[in-house]
Amino acid sequence: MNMIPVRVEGFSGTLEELARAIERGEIDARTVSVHEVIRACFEELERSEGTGLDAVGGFLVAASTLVAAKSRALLPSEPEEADGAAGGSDDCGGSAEDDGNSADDSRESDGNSALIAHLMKYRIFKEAVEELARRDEAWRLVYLRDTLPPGTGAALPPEGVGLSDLIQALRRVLEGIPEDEFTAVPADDLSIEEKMDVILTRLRQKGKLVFGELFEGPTVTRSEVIAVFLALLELIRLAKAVVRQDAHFGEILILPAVGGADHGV
Amino acid sequence: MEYEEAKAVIEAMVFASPRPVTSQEMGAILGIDPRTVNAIVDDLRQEYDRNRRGMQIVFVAGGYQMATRPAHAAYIAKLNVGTRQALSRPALETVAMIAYKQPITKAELETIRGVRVDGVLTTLIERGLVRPVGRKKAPGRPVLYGTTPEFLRWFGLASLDDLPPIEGDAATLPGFSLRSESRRRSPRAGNGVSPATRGSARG
Repeated sequence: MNMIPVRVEGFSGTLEELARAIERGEIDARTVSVHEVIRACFEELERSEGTGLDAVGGFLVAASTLVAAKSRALLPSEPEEADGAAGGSDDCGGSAEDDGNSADDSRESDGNSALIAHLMKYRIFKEAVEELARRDEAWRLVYLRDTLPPGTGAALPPEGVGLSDLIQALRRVLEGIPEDEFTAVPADDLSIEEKMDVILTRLRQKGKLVFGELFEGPTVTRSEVIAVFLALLELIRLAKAVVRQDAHFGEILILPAVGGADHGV
Repeated sequence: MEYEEAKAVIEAMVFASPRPVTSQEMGAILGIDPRTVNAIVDDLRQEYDRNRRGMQIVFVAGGYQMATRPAHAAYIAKLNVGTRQALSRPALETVAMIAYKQPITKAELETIRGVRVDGVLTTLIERGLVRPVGRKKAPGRPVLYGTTPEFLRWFGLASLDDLPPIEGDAATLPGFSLRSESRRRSPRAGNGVSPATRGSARG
């Protein structure tokens, strides 16, 4: 951002550099046509469409700093000591706007210094940013040895699976199942204990289950899915089963808890 | 323990460790003074340089780590091990501000940068350079962000003290406090902007 090139008399660089040069007093703000600079910037912004909000934001900050510096340069010398002696500042012309002059001035210079302090903060970082950019480039060429020992996986997989992961997975399962029809109230044929048994039995047989497998069946209803899910939560609560995920966004696996359910292999 | 043996063990530990390993760690394992470990690592480094080895030992994020040399980057890139993308300008600026002013809230960052930082912040977190470190005791308890050890590795910095010094007048600005005014470089740093180019120069 802020890479808007600016060319005025005796200066060529980015808008921000210009604002900075003026702050440092290297360039007299009175010699700079704010109008021209800003028009040039607009042209540049239009030409390089797609520069994005950042560029425009940076432009606004730099431009307002420039305007602030310029207006300060144009104002008569700061009436710091002339707090009570209002009207002392000999403004030539524009007398219509003179009323309440001293109060306005102090407020305005406050605004200015706030702006300048802000720009300074920003600018102080700039040089550090330059160096970090150089480091970013330089160290991009250096490959640090950071692979984990074999068998531990390339990246750390999530160890435990949180409740929200489970609920999200459940939501995906439910999405594939039509709404229950309410034509008849089914008998209470759903028992969470029974489902727990089923899960444990299957775990004993297969060693592990993929989350989706829990809900496979020819006539799976939503209520059944919920029952199985509650059974799973209950098994986790009772520490008879654990859930694991081998990779981010990977399948959620259900495993018998060590010492909980017997493996029976 | 015999010197050459200690050297070999240290080399092995630095090689095997997936993260920067400190001289304290190695010293404790070997039962020798960490300063001796430092000296031995220096010895190893010189050996690598002298023999024009393809690897070097760098000091990043407080510890030693094996690394390749910049001169060989083009070859390694062809190995398809993944090349990291340079950070964008806004990302660099934001991460710099976080580094110098941490812990800092998103709102504070936005005040300094003058633009929104949501997207940039997300990118930095995804790349593991920045992480939430807590919440500010202020209305809304906003999340505070700080840099990670990966940040130090990314930029080849020994520690946060190794950050490029910023202008002294920064400390005097309102609402702007530096972590440490006296920025002494870590004695073990020795990583310039460009990582160990001396190897190729010596040969």
